[in-house]
Amino acid sequence: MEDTDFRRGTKTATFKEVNIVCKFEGLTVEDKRAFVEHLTYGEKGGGQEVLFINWTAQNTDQTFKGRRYRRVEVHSGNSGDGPSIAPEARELLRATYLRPLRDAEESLLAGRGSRLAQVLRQSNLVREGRDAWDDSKGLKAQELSVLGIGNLINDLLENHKGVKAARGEIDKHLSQLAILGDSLTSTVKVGGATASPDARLTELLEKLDLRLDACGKPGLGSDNVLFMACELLLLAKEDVGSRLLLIEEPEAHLHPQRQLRVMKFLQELAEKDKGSIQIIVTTHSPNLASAIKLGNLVMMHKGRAFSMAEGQTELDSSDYHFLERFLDVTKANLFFARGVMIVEGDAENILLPTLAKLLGRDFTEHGVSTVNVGGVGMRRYARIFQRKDLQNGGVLAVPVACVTDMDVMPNCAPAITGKIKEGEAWPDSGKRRWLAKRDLSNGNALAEYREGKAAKANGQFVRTFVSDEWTLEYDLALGPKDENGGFPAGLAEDVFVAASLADKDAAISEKKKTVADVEQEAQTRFAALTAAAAKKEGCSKEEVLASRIYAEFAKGGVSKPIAAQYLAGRLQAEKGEGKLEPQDLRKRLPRYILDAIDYVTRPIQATVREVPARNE
Amino acid sequence: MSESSPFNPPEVTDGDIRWVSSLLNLRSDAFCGKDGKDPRKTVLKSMEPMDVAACPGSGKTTLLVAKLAILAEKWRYRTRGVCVLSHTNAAREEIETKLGGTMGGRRLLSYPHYIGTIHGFVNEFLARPWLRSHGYRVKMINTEICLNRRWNSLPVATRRALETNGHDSSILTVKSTDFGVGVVPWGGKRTPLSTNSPTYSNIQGVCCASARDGYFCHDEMFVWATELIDKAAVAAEALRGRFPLLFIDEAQDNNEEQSAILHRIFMDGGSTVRRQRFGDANQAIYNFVGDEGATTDVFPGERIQALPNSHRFGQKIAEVADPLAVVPCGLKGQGPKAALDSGAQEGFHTIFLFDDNSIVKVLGRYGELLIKTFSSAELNEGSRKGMFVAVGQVHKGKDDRHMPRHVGHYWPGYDPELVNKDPKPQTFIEYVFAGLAEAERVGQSYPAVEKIAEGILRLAGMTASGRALHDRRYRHRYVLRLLEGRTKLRQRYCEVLDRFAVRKEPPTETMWNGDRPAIVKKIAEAVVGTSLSGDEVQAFLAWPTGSKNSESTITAQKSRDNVYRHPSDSPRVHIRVGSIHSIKGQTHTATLVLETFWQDHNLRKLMQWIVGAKGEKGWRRSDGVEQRKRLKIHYVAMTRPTHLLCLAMKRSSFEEADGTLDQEKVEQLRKRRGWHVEFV
Repeated sequence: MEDTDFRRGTKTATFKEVNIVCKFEGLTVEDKRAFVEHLTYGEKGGGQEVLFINWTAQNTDQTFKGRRYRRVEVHSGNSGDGPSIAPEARELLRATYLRPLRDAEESLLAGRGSRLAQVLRQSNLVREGRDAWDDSKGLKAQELSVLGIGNLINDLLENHKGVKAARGEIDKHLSQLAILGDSLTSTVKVGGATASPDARLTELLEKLDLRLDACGKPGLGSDNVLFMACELLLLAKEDVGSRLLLIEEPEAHLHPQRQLRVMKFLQELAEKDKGSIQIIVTTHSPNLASAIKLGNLVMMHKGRAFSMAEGQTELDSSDYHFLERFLDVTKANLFFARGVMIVEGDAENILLPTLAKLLGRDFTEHGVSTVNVGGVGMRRYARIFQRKDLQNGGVLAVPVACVTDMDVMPNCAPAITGKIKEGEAWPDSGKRRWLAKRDLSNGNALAEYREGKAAKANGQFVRTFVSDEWTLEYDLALGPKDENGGFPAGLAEDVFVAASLADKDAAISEKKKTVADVEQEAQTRFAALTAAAAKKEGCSKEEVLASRIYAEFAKGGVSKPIAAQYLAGRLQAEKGEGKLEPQDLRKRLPRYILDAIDYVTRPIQATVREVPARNE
Repeated sequence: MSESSPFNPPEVTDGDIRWVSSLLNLRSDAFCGKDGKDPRKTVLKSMEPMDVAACPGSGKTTLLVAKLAILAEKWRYRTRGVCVLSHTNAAREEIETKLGGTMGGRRLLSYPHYIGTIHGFVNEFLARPWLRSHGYRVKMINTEICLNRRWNSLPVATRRALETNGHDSSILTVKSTDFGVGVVPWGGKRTPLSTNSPTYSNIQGVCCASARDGYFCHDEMFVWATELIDKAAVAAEALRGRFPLLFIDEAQDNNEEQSAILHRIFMDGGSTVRRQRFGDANQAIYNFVGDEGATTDVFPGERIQALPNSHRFGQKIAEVADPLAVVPCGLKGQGPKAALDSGAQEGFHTIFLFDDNSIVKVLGRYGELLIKTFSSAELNEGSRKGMFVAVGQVHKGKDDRHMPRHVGHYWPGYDPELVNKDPKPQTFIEYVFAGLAEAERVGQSYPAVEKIAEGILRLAGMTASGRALHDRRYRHRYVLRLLEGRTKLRQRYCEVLDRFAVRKEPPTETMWNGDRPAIVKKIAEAVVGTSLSGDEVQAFLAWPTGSKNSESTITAQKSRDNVYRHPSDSPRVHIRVGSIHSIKGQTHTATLVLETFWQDHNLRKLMQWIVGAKGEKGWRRSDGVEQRKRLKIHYVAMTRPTHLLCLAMKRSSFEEADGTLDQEKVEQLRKRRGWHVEFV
């Protein structure tokens, strides 16, 4: 314990006590008998017995021999009202703890208390063989035990010619110093040779280094792995008590593939013989997080732990199945984020962070991760953040925004995007795979449709933001609706130019065309397009124009992600030229994009207040 | 030796037995006998269930300690331990003194083993965990304090009604888990008080409230322990797993409640533990009326290993005592360990015959015999070499019919109240005195310090809402800890200790009536962290009053110790006088068993067993249960001495109807059993 382990209040003095309560469930027969005097029984006797360990450290403000004296007590019982736990019983609870960034190399080297010596001592093989040697046999044929080798060496040393000669010299001097009648002689003995066999065995084993069989000095990472293997071996030999291994940040010094390997190995080990070894790993690596089964993860957020085990989240078993397959390293960021933006495709993935940055809400600065689900399972990812038992478990206060398209086109669009021929009647809604506003014109049908989409992933700190009109590109081109129902501010020209650039991307890459040329052409075409746009099928001029722009993607086959890249580039350039200040951009972006960005990047303080008080 | 595989007890070898003999400073054949056939060896080696029927002086406790020492040395399990249960902490203390210096011994005293009383075991492993699981914080288990609290919190009317019906606070002992107190006889016909009556629910109410406050009676813990066993089978399973080896010492003294709960925990149904009980059914005598021994799982059971060899006394005492055993074991006297200074093995075992006029001379004549038999070195009390005792079955009473009724009739100076071995102090001052007395006895100040700390903790516990004060082993250290940060009061506490425990100043009433009670109260308040008030607190801090506790009797207690000194003007021999119940388990140099009256004159009723006229041996059903009780009590008394056994009987017991002495009967005493007869 350090002084800094006691929380320092802002106004009040430093807190005087640290209290940690551990609850052990699912006790084995051995656990129950070992802690029978400490068990807490179920209300009616039936059901699960549990073991509470109450650890309390008090800062007494006293010093003994110049050291701060802190009292540490370990009691059982939910409120620590049980008896104190005997040291021998506490030993059964001891866990193996691997510090972060530990110097693994040193732990593997020979020396007092070396882990290798401890591991080897567990093995009976080191005791096999003879402890005494046979003069009639050759050196290799002795079949000596480790102790026997020690004995032999001691004997050889003590009887070495040089050693004996020196002893003779010493005796000569001694005899000159001796008073008549006294006979002083010396002996030379190997230090520690008279210690107990057990102590001598330890001493011999401590002479051994554990090194990787490679040329030169192995890297820190390799030593790390070797060390972990060593600890696991020791742990597996443990016959009794908690077989708990705590590893902090095992990713240190390991390259990503090795990390995955280590993680997989640890996970398999922990799952073998159901619960015989428990391993708790802390990490800040999405790489490691992605290698661990979702159900085995625990997220720490604002001082509370949120288990991802089945039953703890709103995820159902098919979700776990799905996520175990698709939650890869690019998505595992979400476990570490302060805000999560879940998007359906690459275009959003590229554009939203850029837009946020241009709005002064940089995702990186706000700790927001964007997760691109590639069109499938958006809601499954969202449910990771929805808790089953809010009453006892509390809410996971990470704002999660799902951004999705409304996918209801304006009535002018089916013809413009080529879903039907101009003037042709629409097929029955059941026979086509698209929807237009006309299909949802009854009463509130459009609003209900929107709500239905949003509701699929809403609740707790998860919110779904459905595009205001149709799709990302269309909505960007159209811009937000003003108070008069018009769309005066969209990014129509930028989107169209970006689409044109994307269309000519290959030519630009091959240097057959320059960006400037394409832009020039696009602007000319855009002017013509704008001029030609006229009201149609009850749609405004702007809607018709935006539909025509979107037709570049829908009909013209322009790549959305590439266009998104060009659009992002254009907007950034405009910002660089001072033409696109955040307040200007705010007026031009669709409402749902602004809302989603604002939601995941709102000041952290606001989210803290929404955490319900912990139930006592 | 894996923790998860079935229990496999350590094997005891001949080498282990030699090792433990030398560890305990005994002869190497102490447990094997010269011929190697001593049954003690079997007891040490066997790990199978058995009941060891150990005769007086057979060294039962030493044997158990030896066995435990070997087990401790060989014990490798980390989640399993040895459980040793008894009625007192004698076994624990014996292990502390004899094995405390060894690693194995120290391990034996701690986790995972348990050595202690049955009560302590039931509390620690069953009652407390169960109560804790239900949110009761056990603050204090003390029958007297608990009953007082309950009594005082009853409505006055309820208290009156109880008193009118002949009840006192002892009725408030919880007998069932709904806080019921069992049957309360009521009214003229003593019919049970209805459990639906307001009075009964008031009683239940105060019992429940005191449990919520954390106060419990000793015996109630069995109620909670039993509920746990009833409801959670896992408790007994876990305990059987934890303690695969169970030793019960003084098994004959288990009452039904203890025997029944131990049976349920360890023996009932399948997968029982390996249980070895040690005891002597012939010595089963109880201190309380109505405490009549167990009917469940009676000791000894079927697999009996008898230890008939006594190292305490010689064959002569064995021969006169053996017939009084309820089940004679063929007692063999292989002692005493040392001959007398006079060169004789033992003294002349004598029966003093007295009449109503000469009764007060009996102790003097016994003294004369002691002076004749033992050298002055052996008699010298200071050297603690000899222990000379006179005891009777009955040691107090007011009735003077059927003299001699009790011990007091032999010596009017005898005070039966002094016998209570360790009366619970009622006031802080009594804690100080008790501590001082103990300190004097052992010649260290440590017991006084602990006793004073205990007094402070007792006072600190007299709060309804205070935090729990666990009963600790080291009370002084605990008080010091609780006073951390209260420099001034800590200083005051140390001053109190310095005055009483270090400088050994006995408190006086004048000194106490100053501000000292207030200081002690402040210390206790700091210990518990709340203020203390109320009658209980006032009474505890008051100077003790009443005949027993006044200042003069406290000082008198030191000189009045129920030791009969002979001759009175210049004493050469000191005879401790008391009841047979008070000398259970003791070893004396010489014991005089006095005739007393319980339903009849006890020794007279035992005449056939003493004289052996009909070769009476043991007890038969036709003798009646009173006679069995009488036999056991006198068997205990007669098996105490190493060198000299005497009886004091009424001359009239040997008289014919017309008042002449039955010479033949007296002759029989001499001839058959080798008694010497002296007329007083």
